[in-house]
Amino acid sequence: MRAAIAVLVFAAACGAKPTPVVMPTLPGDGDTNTAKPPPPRTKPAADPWESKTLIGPPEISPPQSVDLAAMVSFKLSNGLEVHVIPDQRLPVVSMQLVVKAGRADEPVAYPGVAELAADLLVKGTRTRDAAGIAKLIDSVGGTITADATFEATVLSCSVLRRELDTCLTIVPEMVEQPKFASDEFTKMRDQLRGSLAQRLSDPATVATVHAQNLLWTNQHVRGRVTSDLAIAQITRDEVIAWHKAWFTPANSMLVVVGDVDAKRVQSDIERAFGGWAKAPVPPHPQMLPPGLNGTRIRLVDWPGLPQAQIRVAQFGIQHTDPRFFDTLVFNYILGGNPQSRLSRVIKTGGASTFDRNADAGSFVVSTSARNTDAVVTTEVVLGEITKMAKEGPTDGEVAQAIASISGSWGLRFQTVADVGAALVGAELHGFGEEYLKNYGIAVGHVDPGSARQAAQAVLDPKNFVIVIVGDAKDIEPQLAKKGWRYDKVPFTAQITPVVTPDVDPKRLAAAKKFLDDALVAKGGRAKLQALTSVRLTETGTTTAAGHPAVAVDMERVLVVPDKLRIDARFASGAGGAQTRVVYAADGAKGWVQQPDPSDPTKMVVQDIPPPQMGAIDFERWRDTDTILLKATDPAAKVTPLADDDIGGKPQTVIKLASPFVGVDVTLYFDKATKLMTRMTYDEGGFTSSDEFADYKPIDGVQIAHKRPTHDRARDIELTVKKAEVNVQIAPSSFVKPASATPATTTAPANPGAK
Amino acid sequence: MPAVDTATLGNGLQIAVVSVDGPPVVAVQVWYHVGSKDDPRDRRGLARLFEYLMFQGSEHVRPGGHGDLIGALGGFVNGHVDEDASHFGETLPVSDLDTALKLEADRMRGLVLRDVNVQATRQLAAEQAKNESATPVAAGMAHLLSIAFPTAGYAWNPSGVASDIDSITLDDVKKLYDAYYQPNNALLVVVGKTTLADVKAAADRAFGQLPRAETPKRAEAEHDQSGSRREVLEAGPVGLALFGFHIPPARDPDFYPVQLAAMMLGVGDDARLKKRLHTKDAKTGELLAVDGGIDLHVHENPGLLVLVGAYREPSHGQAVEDAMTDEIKRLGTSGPDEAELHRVKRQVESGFVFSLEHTDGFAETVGRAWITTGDATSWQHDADKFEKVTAGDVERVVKQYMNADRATLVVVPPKGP
Repeated sequence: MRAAIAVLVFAAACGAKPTPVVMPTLPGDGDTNTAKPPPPRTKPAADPWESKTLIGPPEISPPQSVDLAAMVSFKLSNGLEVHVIPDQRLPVVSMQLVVKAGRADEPVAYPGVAELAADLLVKGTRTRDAAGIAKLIDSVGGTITADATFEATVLSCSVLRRELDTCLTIVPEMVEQPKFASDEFTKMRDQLRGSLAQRLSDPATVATVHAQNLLWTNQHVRGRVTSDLAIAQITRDEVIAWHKAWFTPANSMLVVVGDVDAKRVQSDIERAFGGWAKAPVPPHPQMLPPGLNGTRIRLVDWPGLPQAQIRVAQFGIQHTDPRFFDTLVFNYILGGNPQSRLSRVIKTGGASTFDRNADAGSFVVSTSARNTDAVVTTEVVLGEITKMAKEGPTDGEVAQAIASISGSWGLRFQTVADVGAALVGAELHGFGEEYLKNYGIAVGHVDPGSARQAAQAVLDPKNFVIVIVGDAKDIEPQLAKKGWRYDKVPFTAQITPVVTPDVDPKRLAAAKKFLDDALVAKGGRAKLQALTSVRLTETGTTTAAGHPAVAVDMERVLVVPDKLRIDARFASGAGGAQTRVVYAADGAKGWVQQPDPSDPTKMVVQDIPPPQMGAIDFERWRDTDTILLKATDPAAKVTPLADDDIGGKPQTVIKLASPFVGVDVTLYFDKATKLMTRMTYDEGGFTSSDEFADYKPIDGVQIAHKRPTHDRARDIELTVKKAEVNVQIAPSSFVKPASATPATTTAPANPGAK
Repeated sequence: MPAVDTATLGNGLQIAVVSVDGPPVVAVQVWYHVGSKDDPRDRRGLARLFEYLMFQGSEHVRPGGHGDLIGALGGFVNGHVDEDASHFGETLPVSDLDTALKLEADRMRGLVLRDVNVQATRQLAAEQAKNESATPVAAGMAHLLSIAFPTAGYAWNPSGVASDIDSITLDDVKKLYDAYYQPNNALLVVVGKTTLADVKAAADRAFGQLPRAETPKRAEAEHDQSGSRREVLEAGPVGLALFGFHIPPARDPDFYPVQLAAMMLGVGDDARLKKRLHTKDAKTGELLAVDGGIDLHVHENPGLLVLVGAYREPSHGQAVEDAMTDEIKRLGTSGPDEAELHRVKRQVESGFVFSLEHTDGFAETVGRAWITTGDATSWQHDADKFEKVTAGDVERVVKQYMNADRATLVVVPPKGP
C-alpha cells in the first residue's frame, strides 16, 4: 500500500496537472458519474478578538512591602525563644510551637519517627486522652494540628482571642507531657503505614522519591526513603526517645500572631511554658552532599502504567544563599508558573522547584509523557535547563516574573496562621520579620543580569539525575537508541534498605531473663516441652465491621508440633440453625470444610491452597501456649520495648522475630503475674491483637480462659468453657473427610448462654 | 471588626467595600442576583452552565485570558453559582484593582456567547450533574428536594439535570445573560487594603458607562407546608432516612436559633443525633445506625433543614426513624442545656470569624448577606444575633418548624447483607 501511494505522489509531483475527467450521465445512475462542483470552502471561524484592543497587563508598579506590626521577641529562662506579632485585623490568635527537629534528624533505623511522634502529640497527654483533647478544642471552635517537616515539628493552635487560654493550656501539655498511649501508637502507626502505601501507589510520588534517592544516595537523609518495613520497626520506645531528645525548650521556638497585647501575652506565655524543664540540646546530624559527576539515569519499571513520570534533578541552593532571589526569578520562568517555558514546550505541562531549606536541598523538574514519548520529553527538559543555564532569562521575562512573585507574596498573609507559618520559615533560617515585610522588594532588586548569572552558576548543563517511571518495554528501546546508560528497578522495589537498630545489651539481657521467668509462670520448661496437645472448647461472639454480632461455638485443637484443627459453628439464622466451618492442617497439607456457596445445605471440602498455608504456618508458630519455648530459645531474636499498661496494670513488652517476613509478634506480660496478656502482630499494615486473661492451671500449665481477638476483619470475644491438655486426639480429626456432611444443625448456638 | 461602606453607581450597580489594614491585597467579587432557583423548569442547570461561559472570553479578553492575566499579576480567580447567587472575582495585589474591574465590566455586558462554546460546555455541565447525583445519599437528597419544593426552584441541585442541560441552547444562555447580568442586578464587593472612595472611582471608570436594565423578575417562594409527606424509594446499598423541614429564610430572626438547633442535632461527635444513632442495642450489641448528620439549606426564600440517618440493617428502619423523631421532640420539649448552647455558639462564632480571615472569604460573607437579606451590611449583626439566642428560643423554633405537619420524609431501605 505504501508503495502505491509513493508512486501516485511521484506522478503528481512530476507530471502535468491532470484534467478532471467528466463522466457522462448514464441512465439510472443519478448523479453518480456527474462531475460535482468542489465543496464550498469553509470559511475559518472568525476570530472575534482579531481587531480588538485587548485588556492587557497594567504598567508594572514597583513591588510593595507588607505591613506587619512590630514583632516582640524574648527568651524564657528555660531557653524557649518567643516571637509575637500583634495583628488586630480580627479577634483571632494563632500559636505555633516549633521544635527544631524533623525528618533531617531521624535515626537511620527509624525513618518516619518524626511524623509518627507529631501525629501522636494531639492524641493524648498525661491528663487528657485523644477524645478529651478533641472535645476541648471543639467546645471553643478552635483547631489544633501537629506536623513534622524536613527541618521541624510544628504544633499549631488557632482560636478566638477570648479562648487563648485553651491554647496556652493544651499546647504546653502536649509538648511537655505527651502520653504516647500504646493503643493510639498502634493506631497511628497503622495509619502512617496506610498513608505511606497510598503515597507509594502514586506514580508521581514514586518518581519524586526515586529522584531524591538517586541524587542524594542512601548515605544522606535526603536520599533515604522510608518504607513499610522501616515504619513497622518503629516502636513506642523510639517515639518516646525521639521526644525526650529533641523536645526541649532550648531547641524550640514559640510564635504567636493575632489579636494580642504583646506585653500582656508575655506573662501568659511565661506562666504557660515557664515550667518546661531545661535540657541539653543534642547536635543535629551533619551530612555532606554526595556530589554529582556525570549523569545518572534510573528507569523504574511499572508495567501497564499508561503515562510515564519524569523527574530531572540537581542540587539546589541554601535559603541563605545570596543568589536566592535571582534563583527564584529564573526558576519561575523555567518552570515555576503555569505559563512557564517548560509548560509551553511540553504538552502535559512541566514544573520546576527549588527546596527552601537551611541546606542546599534539591532542584527538581517534574513532568509526564506517554511511555513512547518519555525519552524525547526528557530531552526537551534537559534542553530547557541547558538553555536557561547558558542564555538565562530575557529582560521581559524577568520583569514579568518579578511582578508575579512580588504580587503573590502579599496573598500569603491573609490569616494569622499564615503570618505565623511564614515567620516560622524565616526564623528557622535566621531571617526575622523584616525578611517577610521586604520579600517583594528583594525580588524587585533582581535584574536580568543577576538572574542570568545565577542561572549560569546554579544550573549545571552537564550533570543530571534522571528518573523515568513507566512501562519499561516501551521505554527501554528509546533509551537503547540514545545509547543512554541506566539502571532498571521494579516499581515495587524497596528503595532504601532497612537498617536494623542496635539493642542495648543490658536491656536485652533483662528481657531474656523476663522471658525465662514468664516460662516458669506458664508452667515451666519441662511441662511445656512435654505438652502433646491442647484442646479448648470455647463460646462467644464474632462481629464483622459494620455487622451485628453472631454467636459462635468453637473447638480448637493443637497436636504438637504441627497438627491444628478449628471447628467453628456460627448462628446463621432463625430457629437457632448453625453454620459449621472446619479448618484442619497436618504438616504441609490442610483442608477446609464449609457450606457450598451455591447450595448452603451441602458441605464442600477443599484443600487449602499452598499460598494460604503460609497463614496456617504462622498460626501454628505463634500458638499462645507454646510460644514461650520459641521465645526462650537461645537463637530467638528478641527486642525489649517500652513498658506499657493495660487496664492500669504495668506490662513488660517484648518483640519476638518470627521466621516469616514482616510479621514479628509483640508479646505483653503482666509484670506481677508474668503471664502473657496480649499478643499483637502485623497483618498487611493493620495491627491485629489477641488478649489473654482469666488464667487457670490445667495439668500444671496456665491456660487463659478469656480470649478476645481483634483483627482487620472482625472482633471475636471468646470464653473457654473447657480446657484440656495432653489428651488423646484421634488422628482421624486431621484426615480430609471424603463425603459431605450436613452444613447446619438444629442445635442452638451458645446453649445456656445469656 | 472591620466595617463595611456602601455606595451605588448611577446605573444601579451597588458597591460594598471593607477596608482591611493588612497586606497590599484585595479580593474583588461581582455578585449577580441569579441562581439555579431561577432556572426555567425545563432548563435545570442553566445558571450553573453559565458559570463556565464566564471564563470563555469577552469583548476585550480572549478565552482563558482573564485567568492568565490575573495569574501573571500574582493573583487567582474564582467563580461559583449556587441556588440564589452567581459570583465571580479575583484576589490580587491592590495596585491592580483597576485591571480587575475592567475585566469584570467587560464580561458583565460584553461576554462573547457562541454556539460552539455552549455545545462544549453542555457536555461538561451534564457530566458534572451526573457525577453529583451518583452516590446513594445524593440521589436520595435530590428526591427529597423534588418533593419538598413543589413550587420553588430549590427543587433541584444547582448542577441541574443532565437531560435538561442537553437541550440548553445559545438562545437560553443569551436570555439569562440579558435578564440578570446587568449592573442594577449586581453588587461589587471589594475587601482589602483600599477605601470606598478609591473603589468607587475605579468602578465608575470601569462600569459607569453600562446602561441600567429592566429589573429582573424574582422566583416564586415555596408555600407553607401543611401535612407530612413520605416516600419510600427503591432499596440501596445503605439505608437512609432523610427528614426535611422547611425553615425560615436567612433574613428571618428565627433563622439564628434554627441554625443553632441544627448544629446541636447533627454537627460534631457530641451532636444529639449522632450519639443517639450510635447507641448499641443492649442485647445484641448492634449499632442502631452507621451515622447521622444534618444538611442545612439556608436560602433567600424559605429553605430546608435535612436530618440524615444512615443504617445497614433492614430491620432497623422504623427504629432509626423513631430515634430521629424522638431527638427532635426532646430538643423541642426540654431545650438545650447551657453547655451545649455555649458550645454551638462558640462553633458558629469561630466559623464565622475565621471565614473572614481570607479577603475572598470576607467578600463572600458580604455578597451572601446582600443576596439573602438585600442588605450588604447585615452580616455585621450576625454574631450578636447568634449570641443573644436563648435556650427557650431553640426550644420554640424546634417545636414550630420541625414538627410532623411540616416534615417531608424520604426513605431508602438498605438491601441488607
